[in-house]
Amino acid sequence: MSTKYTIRDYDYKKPTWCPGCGDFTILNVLKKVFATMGLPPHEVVVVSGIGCGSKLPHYIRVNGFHTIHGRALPIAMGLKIARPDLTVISIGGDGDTFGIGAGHFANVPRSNIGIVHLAQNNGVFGLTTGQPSPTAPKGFRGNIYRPFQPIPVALSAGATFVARTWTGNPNHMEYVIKEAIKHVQEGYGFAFVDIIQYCITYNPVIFGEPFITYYKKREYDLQKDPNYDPSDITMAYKMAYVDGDKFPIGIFYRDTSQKALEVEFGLVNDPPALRPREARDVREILDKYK
Amino acid sequence: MVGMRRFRGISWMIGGAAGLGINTVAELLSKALVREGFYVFANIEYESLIRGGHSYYRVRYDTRPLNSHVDYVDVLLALDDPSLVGDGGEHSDGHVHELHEGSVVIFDRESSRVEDEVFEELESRGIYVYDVPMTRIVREAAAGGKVNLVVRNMVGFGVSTYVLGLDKDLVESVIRERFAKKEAVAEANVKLHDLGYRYAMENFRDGRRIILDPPPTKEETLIATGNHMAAAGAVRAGLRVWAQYPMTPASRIYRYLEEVKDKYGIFLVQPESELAVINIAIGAAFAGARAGVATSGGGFALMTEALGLAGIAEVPIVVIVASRPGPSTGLPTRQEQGDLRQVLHASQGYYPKAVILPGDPYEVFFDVANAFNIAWKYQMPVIVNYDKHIAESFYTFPYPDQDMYVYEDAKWVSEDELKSIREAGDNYKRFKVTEDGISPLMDLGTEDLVIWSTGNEHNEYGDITERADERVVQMDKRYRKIETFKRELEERFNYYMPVKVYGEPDAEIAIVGWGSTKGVILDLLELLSEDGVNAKFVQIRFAYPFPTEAVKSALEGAKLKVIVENNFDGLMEGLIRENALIEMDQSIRKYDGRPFSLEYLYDRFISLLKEVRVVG
Repeated sequence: MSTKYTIRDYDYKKPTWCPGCGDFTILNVLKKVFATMGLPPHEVVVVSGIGCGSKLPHYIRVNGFHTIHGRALPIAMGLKIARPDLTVISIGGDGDTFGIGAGHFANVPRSNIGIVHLAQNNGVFGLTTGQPSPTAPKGFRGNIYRPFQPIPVALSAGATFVARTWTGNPNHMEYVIKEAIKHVQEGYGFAFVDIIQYCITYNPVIFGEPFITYYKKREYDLQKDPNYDPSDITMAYKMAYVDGDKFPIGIFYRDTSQKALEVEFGLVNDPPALRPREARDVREILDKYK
Repeated sequence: MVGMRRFRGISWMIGGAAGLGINTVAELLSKALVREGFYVFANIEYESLIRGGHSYYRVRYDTRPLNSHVDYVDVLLALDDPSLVGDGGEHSDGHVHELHEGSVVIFDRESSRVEDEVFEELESRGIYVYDVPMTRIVREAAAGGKVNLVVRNMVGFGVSTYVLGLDKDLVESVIRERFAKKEAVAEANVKLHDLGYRYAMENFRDGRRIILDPPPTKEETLIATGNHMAAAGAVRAGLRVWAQYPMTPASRIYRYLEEVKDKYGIFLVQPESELAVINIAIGAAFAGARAGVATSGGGFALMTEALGLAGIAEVPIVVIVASRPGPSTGLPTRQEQGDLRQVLHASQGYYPKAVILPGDPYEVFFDVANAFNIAWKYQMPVIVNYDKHIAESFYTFPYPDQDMYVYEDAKWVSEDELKSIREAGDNYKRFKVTEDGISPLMDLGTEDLVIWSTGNEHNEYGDITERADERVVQMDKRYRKIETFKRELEERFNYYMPVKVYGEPDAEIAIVGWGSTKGVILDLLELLSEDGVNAKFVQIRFAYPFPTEAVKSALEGAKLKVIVENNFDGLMEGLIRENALIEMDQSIRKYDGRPFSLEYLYDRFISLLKEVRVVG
C-alpha cells in the first residue's frame, strides 16, 4: 500500500537509546505504520510517560507530549476527548503502565476511549540503572513480587482490543499496531498492545538464554491458529496464562460490539477543543438561584 | 442564656439527624426569605456520615445585607432529642444553651424522651416551647397510606412559617418549585407544610411570633453557595471539559455542572482518582479545550506532580480547591483555611501560576471565570482556593452582571507566522522565547506542523535539553509570564481586585483577612462602628503573585494591624511578612473546624482591644 507519506516524513531527532535497544524497532515500526496507513504527521499525537521508551515522541515527527511517570493514559484520554478527530497513541514502559500508572491501566480501558496504548515491556527500569519493574520475575535483582500479568488485567479492565507482540518480530508488530489503530478508527474503542522487549544493558537474557533466541523458539502466533477465536474472551483469558514453552503473540481479544466513548457521546464530529472559544450566556443558570 | 448579646436580624435553626431533611427545609426557607426581599446567610454543620448523627443548619436573615452567622438561636426547630438536649456529647451537646429569653422552640414532645424538667427550665428562662405533634400529623395525613416520617420536617417548616410571619403562599410556591418534577410529592409537601402552619395558628394564636417586616424595596439578589457560583463561573468562561473525583466540600460542583452540561456542551468525567482527574484535564487543555477540575486538600495533594507538568509544559489549567481541615482526612465536613501554603507551593521546582482567594460566592463567580482567562492568556495553572464556609453556605448577593466578565483568549500563532514557518522548512516553536514570556499557541492538527512538548526542560521546539544556557533561557521565559501578569494586575487593578479595602481607608485599626472570613469581618466592622471604633478591613485576594504594593499601601499608617484567620498557623500572616515585610500586631486564629461566628469574633476582637488598651 502506498500513500503520500514515506517513513522519512516521520523522521526527527536521533534517539539517545543504547545501541541495540528494542525501542528502535518500536520507533521504526511506528513510522512505517503511520506512513503505510497514510496518517498525516499533524493528525497523530503520541503521549508518553517517563523512561527510556517514553522519550520516543522526541524522535518522531508527529505531535508529541512527553509527560510524567504513569500518566500518559489519562492525558491521552483527555486529549482524545477534546480532539477525537486525531489519532492518539499512548506509550509507556512497564513501570509506567503496570506500576505507577496501574490505576489508570485498570480504569481508562473501562471508558472505552478510542486510544491505542503501547506498553514497552522489558521487565526492568533502565533509565534508573536496572531496578526490577512490575513484570520482572520474582527474585530478579531482589524483586519480592510475582510478575504483573498485563493481558488478563487488560481484559478485566474492559479493553476492547488486547494484543501482544515483541521486538524480535517487527513484521508482526507492524501488523498488530495497525490492527489496533484500525480498531480505534472504526470506532470500537480502547486498544492495548503489550510489546515484549529486552533491555540490552540490564535485562538481555531470559532464563539463561539470549532474549531473541528464547522467544523465537517459543513464539506462537494466535492468528495462525485456526481454532483461536479472538472474539471469545474465555479463550483470551486461557491463552493469557499460557507461559513457558509457548509464547503466544497476536490479537488475544477483539470486541467490535462496543462503541468508543467519543462515538457514544457524539464528540467525533464536534470536537470540544474546536468549538467556539467564547463567553457563554449563563443567566439561565443564575436565574435558578433567584 | 439571659443577657446573651444579640445582633440584628433573626436567627432560625433546624437540627436533626442526617437523613431527616434539614437541608431541604433550610434551603426552602432561605429561598422564600430572599423572595420576600430579605438578606439571608445560611450555613450547615454536619458529620461525615449518611444517616444519623447530628446536623444543624442556621438561617440568619435581616432587611439589610448580612454576611455571617450567630451562635444564638431565636427560633429552633428541633426534629429530634439530640437537637435539644444533646446525646451526652457523642454527636451533639444540644442547642438549648443557644436559646435566650423570648426564643421559640418547635418540638414534638409526644415523640420524645426529653424529661419534663428540661421544658420547665426552658419556660423559666422565658423560652417559648411550641409542642407540635409532628409525627402524629404526618401519620394522620397519610390516612392509613404509606407513612414517611421524614416529612415531619415539612410540618415543622409550616410552624416556622407561621412563627416567622412569612407569606404562606410564597413559601408554598417555593416548595412546589423545588419538587416541580414530581407533582404528587410537591403537593404532599405543601399539604404537610399547611397542616403545620394551621396547627400553629390554632394552638399558638396568642403565643410569641418573631416577625420582621420585609424591606419596602427589593434588590435583585441571588441566594447560592460558592460551589454554585464556581460552576456558573466556569460555564461562563467557556468550559469544555471538566473532571472531578468526589471530595467534600467540592463534590457538588460536579452536580451543578451536570445539570447544565448538555445545554452548554460540556464533557464531564468522574475518573478513577484525582491523579486521573488532573491529567485528563491537562490532556484536554493541551488539545485546546478549556478544562478545569475541583477538589479539596487531599485530592489536591494527589494532583501535585501533574501541576508541575502543567507549569513547565505551559498547559492552561484551572484547579478549584475547596478546603477543609487537615492534616490527612482531618475533619472532612468542617471548616478551615489551612491549605494556603499547600496550593502555593505544590509541586517541585519553580513554575509560574496564579492563586486566587475569593471571599464569597459573588467573588467566586468572577474569580473562577477570570481564572480561565488568566490560565489561557499566560498558559499556566491557576488555582482558586476557597473553603467549606464559602463552598457550602448560602449567601445573598446582588445578581452578578455577567458582562463584567469579558472572555479573553490565549495568544494563538497567526496565519502569517505559520506560513513563514512552513516556507522556511522550520518547525513550530511551542516554547518560543518572547519578550512577555508568552509563546503563541497552535492548534493540534495544523496542516504540516506538529507540536512537541515535555515535562523535561526543553528548548524552544519542545525538544529535551540538558544545556545550562537553554535551561536559564526557558526558566526566565516562564518567569517573564509572571512579570507580564503582574503588570496586568496593576494596570487592571479594579478588574481583578487583588486587594480590597472596606471602611475608612485612613482608619487606625486595620483588620486583615482572606477567603471566608470576609463575611464575618464585614459584619464586625459594622458593630465596631456602632461602638465608635473606627476600623477598616483589608481583604487579600491573591496569594500569587502576591499584591505586595497594594497590601503595603492598604496597611500604611495603621496603628493596630490585626489578622483574622480560620487556621492554626497563620498562613496569610506569614505570607504578608515574607512579601511585604510587614509584621501584624495581633492575630486572631481559630482552628476548631468551625467558622467564626459574629459574636465569637466580636468578643475576641473586643478583648484584644482591651489588652492593647486601645479602648476600655
